[in-house]
Amino acid sequence: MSAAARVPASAWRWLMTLPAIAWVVVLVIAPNAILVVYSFWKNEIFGIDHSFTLANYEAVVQSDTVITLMLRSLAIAGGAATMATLIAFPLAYVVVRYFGRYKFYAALLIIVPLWISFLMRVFSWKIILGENGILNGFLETIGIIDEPSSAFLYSPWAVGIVMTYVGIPYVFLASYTLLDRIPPNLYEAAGDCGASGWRTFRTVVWPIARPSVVIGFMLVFVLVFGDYVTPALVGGFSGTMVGTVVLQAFGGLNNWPYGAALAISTVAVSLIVLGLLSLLLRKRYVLEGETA
Amino acid sequence: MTESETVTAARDDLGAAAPAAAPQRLRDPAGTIAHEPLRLGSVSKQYPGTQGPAVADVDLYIEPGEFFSLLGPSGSGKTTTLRMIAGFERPTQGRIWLGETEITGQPPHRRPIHTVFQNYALFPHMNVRQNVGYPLRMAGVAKAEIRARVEEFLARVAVSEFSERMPHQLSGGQRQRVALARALVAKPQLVLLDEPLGALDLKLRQEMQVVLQHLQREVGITFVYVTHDQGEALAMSDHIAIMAEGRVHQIGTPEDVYSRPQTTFVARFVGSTNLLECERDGSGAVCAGELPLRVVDAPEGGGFHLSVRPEVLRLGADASACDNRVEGLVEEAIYQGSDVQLRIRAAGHLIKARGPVGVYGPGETVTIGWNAADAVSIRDDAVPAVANGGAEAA
Repeated sequence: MSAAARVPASAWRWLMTLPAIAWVVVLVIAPNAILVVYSFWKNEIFGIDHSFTLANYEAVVQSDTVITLMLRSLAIAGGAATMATLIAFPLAYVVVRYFGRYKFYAALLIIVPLWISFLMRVFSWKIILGENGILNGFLETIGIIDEPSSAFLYSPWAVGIVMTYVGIPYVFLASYTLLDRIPPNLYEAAGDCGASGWRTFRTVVWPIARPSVVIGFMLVFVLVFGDYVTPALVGGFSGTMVGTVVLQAFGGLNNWPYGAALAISTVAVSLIVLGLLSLLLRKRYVLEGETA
Repeated sequence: MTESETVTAARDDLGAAAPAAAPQRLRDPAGTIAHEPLRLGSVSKQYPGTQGPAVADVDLYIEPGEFFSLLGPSGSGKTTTLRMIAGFERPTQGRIWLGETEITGQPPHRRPIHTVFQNYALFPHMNVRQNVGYPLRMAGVAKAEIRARVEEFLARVAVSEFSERMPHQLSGGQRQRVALARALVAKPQLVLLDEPLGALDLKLRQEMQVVLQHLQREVGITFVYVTHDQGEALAMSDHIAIMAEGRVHQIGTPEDVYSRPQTTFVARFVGSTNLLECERDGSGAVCAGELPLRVVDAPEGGGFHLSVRPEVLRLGADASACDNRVEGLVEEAIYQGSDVQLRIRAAGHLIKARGPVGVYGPGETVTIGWNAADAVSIRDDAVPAVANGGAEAA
């Protein structure tokens, strides 16, 4: 009787998980598998040679341009993620600790930019950094520069600044949700045990918050590393990143096998970085309300 | 009297009384612990945006090495008082001294006072050993000594075998013990305990009461214990301050507050009692409603309440020799195992009494009696502003 009842139940369970499995297979596994397969084929003038080759990867590794762009992307992504973290984590800490019942509204204000199109957020920085932009106007007014400078826009720095701005809400969200869950009496307990404000932060707050900060950092890193929109809008030639060449390979060059190899190399580099970062993720504790 | 005069006067009392009483309580072999009395002088706390103060004009004197309880219902200001002693809240008015040092404005981390929090507040990312060692680490104690002291206190609270576990791997009772060890390990002047047994089940609570009392005596640190459980306070304390609505109603030994309540609130809150509203008629005789009474210490003028504990009431034939006697009708008899709790309607009053099992049932008539000396008169205008300024230490 019970065995008879169990069979349909498990069948039902399979049925319920089917959409999720289909989603993963159709939208994640299949496209990536196709990409991997393409990267081992060769581009011919009138089509694609379907025999196995490592030539695309050789081309990627031997290209000085690709290596330079890869290193530049690493530097910009690492720099922007670091800056966003340095700004957003203290911000989240201050909001959680000192905004009391207004902390939700403060958090909302910081997250609101995420509701606006990514393109718009990046584009608006042209208005700030451009030659007729707000920054130039301001510096001229206070007399630091005599004539508008074109140095701010179209550089790796511009990409870094814009991506820092774009990344702040992500690190803020990750930090805020965790900091908000630290019971206030832990701060009191640390003070009670003789820890000053700074030592409370170093010995209690930071060790507990670190994993979420690392997750925020990773989010921003991934977001920046493969981006080609921001470099195109504010990077100029010197701000070109690896995503730009991937786009060109698939687009203008129409060389899908090379583009695939380039894309997979980019993902591989990014996975290595994430793997190293995940060493900082280890968490031994359980906060109130969590199950062990 | 101005505030500073009050304090000076109290310190003088203390100078006379404390040295005689304190040394007997110090049981730590090193003899370095708990030599500073804690004093609160007219301390008030008003939270912004609230009506009326959370704590109003509280004067306390807590002897070095004693077990002192703040007893009161929720909202009575006992936890706020504790938080001001710990330094988490700043008094709106008044001052706090530890010995000769004023600590009113000192941040918590500079006070030689440690707290056992209601929910333990163990650091979730540190194991038991690291949690207990934390205050010593903050105090800059050498590593070898931290290790030894932590071992000592883990053994004292019987959690040595769990020293490598994380807080989430411990039961409530074990967390409680770790929190206690953490509060004691740095040998502070004062340990504050905020309803530490509230989250434990009855059996564990009783066990921890004994642990707490023994530990307090062994290490000789002053304990200030906040609770709403009058049984707990009576069982463990050297002195109890009973609070209601931000004010201290009475300070005294457990026996004082139980047998000589100074306000009707204290009489009602500590144990169970019958409060009879009394008046004097023209000839000076006392009566509670229709019932004429003999009262030994009836205050002059004005109304007062007479507190008669259920256990001093005699029933039936036993009542015949009592100063006060009244006929009553048993309305309710609740079986309690060792005895029966009775509710008796007599001369318009509903009287709580205890009787032997199986003798009095509902609907029966019974004579209740008590001796005048066993009841306590409480003035209705008793002002709940008590300073213990060392008076009962003498």
